[in-house]
Amino acid sequence: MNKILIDTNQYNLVITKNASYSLEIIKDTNLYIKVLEDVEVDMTCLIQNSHVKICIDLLTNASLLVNQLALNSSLDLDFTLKKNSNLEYIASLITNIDSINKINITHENEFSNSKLVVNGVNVLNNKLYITINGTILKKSISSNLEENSQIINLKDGDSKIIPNLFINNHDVIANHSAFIGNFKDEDCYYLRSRGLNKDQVDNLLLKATLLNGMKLKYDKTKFIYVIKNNKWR
Amino acid sequence: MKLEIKNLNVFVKDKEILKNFNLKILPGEIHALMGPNGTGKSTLSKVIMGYPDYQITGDIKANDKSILNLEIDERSKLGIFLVYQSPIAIDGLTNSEVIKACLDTRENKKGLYEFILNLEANVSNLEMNKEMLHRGFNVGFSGGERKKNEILQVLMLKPKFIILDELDSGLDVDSLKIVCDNLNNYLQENPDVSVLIITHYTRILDYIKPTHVHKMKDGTILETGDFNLAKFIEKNGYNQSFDIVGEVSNE
Repeated sequence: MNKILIDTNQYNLVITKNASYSLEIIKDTNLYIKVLEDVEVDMTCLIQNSHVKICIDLLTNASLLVNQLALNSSLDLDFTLKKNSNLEYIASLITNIDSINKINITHENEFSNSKLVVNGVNVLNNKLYITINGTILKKSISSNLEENSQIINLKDGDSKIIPNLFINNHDVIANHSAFIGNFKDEDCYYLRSRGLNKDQVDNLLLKATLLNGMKLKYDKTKFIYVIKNNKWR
Repeated sequence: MKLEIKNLNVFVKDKEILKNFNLKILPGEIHALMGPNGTGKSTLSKVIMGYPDYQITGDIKANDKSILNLEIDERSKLGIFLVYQSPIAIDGLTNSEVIKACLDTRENKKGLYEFILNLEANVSNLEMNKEMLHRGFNVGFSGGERKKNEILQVLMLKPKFIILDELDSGLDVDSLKIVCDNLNNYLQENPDVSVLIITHYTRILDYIKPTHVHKMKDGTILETGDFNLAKFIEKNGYNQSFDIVGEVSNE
């Protein structure tokens, strides 16, 4: 596994062979990643207190799994998918400051697949905006695009999810779902009926929300440590 | 644990669900509550557990102290445990993590090593797959596996008053026997633990023998007897009266 700490304004990464990456970003930065043909990449990405712009190109037959945790950060992401490429992007955002996030996915060629899961937790009365633009171009026949996003409001924060689908081909599957609300009463009462008080339940469900859907083969301990050891409220 | 429900009236949005409900369960007793759908059995279990959104008059006492002003988690720490009819699933939390977190809030908190040994022994006794401990809480579990997971929590958290809300639904014959065997062992080891079984059928009562059986309808208890009442209900339904009253009563 390749560990990279990014503390510069600009970082370029061209991935030429199957590999695992653990990225940590601690400074405002522009990151460009290109995954070459037939390459499979498994990546975790921890972003803290930064405004990050990331462009990722997946070339033909490339495959990328990203598990990302962003704390008090704003993201501006651009994914471009070429023929037969696969993207699975699972991102969790937690913030107690304003966080404005924009994610663009463009399917440029046929048989490309993308699946996005974005879980946000808005801690205080700040903004948490997530805009997701999924675009399937005309020549991207038989492509799949799936976007699922949710924001849990712990207080009365200003949260917005704007999911857009721009589809220019009839022979594709594209869907999205979005949810903004609190933790489910049913989950809270169940856990409280096992002896956990309200704060303990909130902390458990916060962690559950942030790890929801993640496929972490490594860095799970690091993610949990970061979630637990930040004083969010 | 002794649990006493006195003159309990429960309303949801002005609709009366439980009407002048009275029940006394002494330490070591096993009571079965049988009744048709929509008669208020599950509401009763949630009211005992302390769910909000109910308007309540009357009283519920645990060991002679009112619990109506206690929060759900405080009632749980007293030793009240509800085995849910439809347990929830939570992705992002592992099964063992939830059980450990719940155990850590209790006085009988265990060290990690002892916790793991105890957990694995109980998982083995319940014939559960060990791998389930490290999966999302109830995520991808069948109905029967979720029920076993509820009983696993009973064995780990060691409650003093257990409400079994339709434990038998979703469990196949073999699994029901395994689950009931484990519960019976727990009750044998802890003779002061009392149980309220909510059920439609006598199947579970063949394994966990009730000391008292109550027929409930329209939010109140109509009849009380012994196991014969359960067999009568199964044969004749809820509309016929059982005229052979057993020696026990609910008062």
